[in-house]
Amino acid sequence: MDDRSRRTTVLSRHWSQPGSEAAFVMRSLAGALSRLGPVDVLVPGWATRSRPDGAFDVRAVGAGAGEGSWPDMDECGWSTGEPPAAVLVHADDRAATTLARAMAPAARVLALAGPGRRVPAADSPDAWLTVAGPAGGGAMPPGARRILDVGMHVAINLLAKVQRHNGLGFSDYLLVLSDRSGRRQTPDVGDRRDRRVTPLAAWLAARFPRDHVVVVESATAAVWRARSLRGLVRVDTRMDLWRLMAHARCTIDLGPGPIVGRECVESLRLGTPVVAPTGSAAEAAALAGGFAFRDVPELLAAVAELADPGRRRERGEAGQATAEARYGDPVRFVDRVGGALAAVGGPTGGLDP
Amino acid sequence: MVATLALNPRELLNEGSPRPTGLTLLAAPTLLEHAPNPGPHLAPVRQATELTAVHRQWAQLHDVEPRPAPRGVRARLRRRLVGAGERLLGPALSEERELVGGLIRATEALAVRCDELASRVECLEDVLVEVVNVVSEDLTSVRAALERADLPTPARDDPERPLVLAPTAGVASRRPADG
Repeated sequence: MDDRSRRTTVLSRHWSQPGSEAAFVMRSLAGALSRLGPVDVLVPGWATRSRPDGAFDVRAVGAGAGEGSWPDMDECGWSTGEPPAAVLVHADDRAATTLARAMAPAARVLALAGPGRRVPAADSPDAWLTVAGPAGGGAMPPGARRILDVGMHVAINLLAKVQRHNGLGFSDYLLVLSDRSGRRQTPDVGDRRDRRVTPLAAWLAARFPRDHVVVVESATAAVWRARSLRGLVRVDTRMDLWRLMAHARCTIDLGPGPIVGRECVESLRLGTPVVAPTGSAAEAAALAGGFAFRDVPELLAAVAELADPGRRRERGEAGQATAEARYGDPVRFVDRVGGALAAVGGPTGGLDP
Repeated sequence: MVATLALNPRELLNEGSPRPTGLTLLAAPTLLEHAPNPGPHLAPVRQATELTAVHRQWAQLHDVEPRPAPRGVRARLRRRLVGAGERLLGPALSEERELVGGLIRATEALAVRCDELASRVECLEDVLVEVVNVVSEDLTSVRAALERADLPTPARDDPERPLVLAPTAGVASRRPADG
């Protein structure tokens, strides 16, 4: 294929949401696509000029009535100068699929599978891209015909294993990533009114009083032991989080990301087993190197089992091997994305669900 | 934007993403407001500087070492005067000496008791931590088991039966729970 046939357009309404995993995954895919050909990134919004954003020039093509919604076709600022060979959209963005069909009728439409809603057959893309495997990657919308598993590259810094987090004088703790989102005011260890903890973390702190339970929430790690709060440590950078993961007995992700469960993958790559909810995008990662749980007894049993050093080492090594193979090689990721593009261009290809 | 992602702690990653956990918990365990924390080791009161100084001074006052015989006129005169004074004030001095001795013995007894209480408190603190740990582990396990037993068990072939762990809508498909 020449450059023209590999030109790709990314339609992403999540692109400018740095907190969402959808943006993280779409940016990774766009980065891989940029190794294969030109990539245009289009977002809803009003702007007269392209906005430089890392390796891309992000262009706003107008907006619809709702916040973050795409414009109507007659108001869309999508340049039709050089038609793309493929358009990449989010699976839950029906309007983007419709827009792609209208503005680039010859292009294949690829949808990044995620926490999808039901997509009518008329709006279905030509193929679904999944990064966490056919079994993972969140819910595949019903009716998905062609699923292309491209994997992903999830970067970590292995130096995190060398030195633990400066704020903690111990290791072998239970690292709990909270399922509460949003910015909360940092609690003060002396303020008893703000010692609430997310319910599942409370179960863990109560069940494992002899262990340090480190609960990360709102960029703060709260250290619990003997069923009581012992201190608070800031988690300001990604490196801080990786250090916490690298020296933990296990990472318990109570609210993994909806597409790949990024933190679970990072933890596995650092050799730390993962415990994650069944049915989440991180279930595959948890099954590869840890445990998945459906309810509180299973959560407690999984964490108790990882208290055995042999079991912990075994699950950690298995998970690390799986995560390295699937998420640790950027070259392979680019190759798989290229393979997906080639597959979607032909009459067959990809994996049937 | 890239910088924000690079510095992205957990908090930023969570924003805008649906949260998958939605366990139907009856009630999470209550955590403690006060940490059952053993305090620092208490040094024995009997070894306090003030008490050892009192004992040392008392011992010096009652030094029973035989004094050398006075030599010279002045020394002999001083000894006779002291002896006369002791004979004259003897009963009163003896009572004061007994009082001071009694105070010192009482202080010693209090110090011994304080040290014993400190030892017991330390022991109790250790026991409290142990009790909190053991009871917390056992009670939480029992509660978790009871909560599982309390959950409804819909028909196995019911496609609409809820998950035991019900992820937030949109994150996972509603799959029947096993068993």
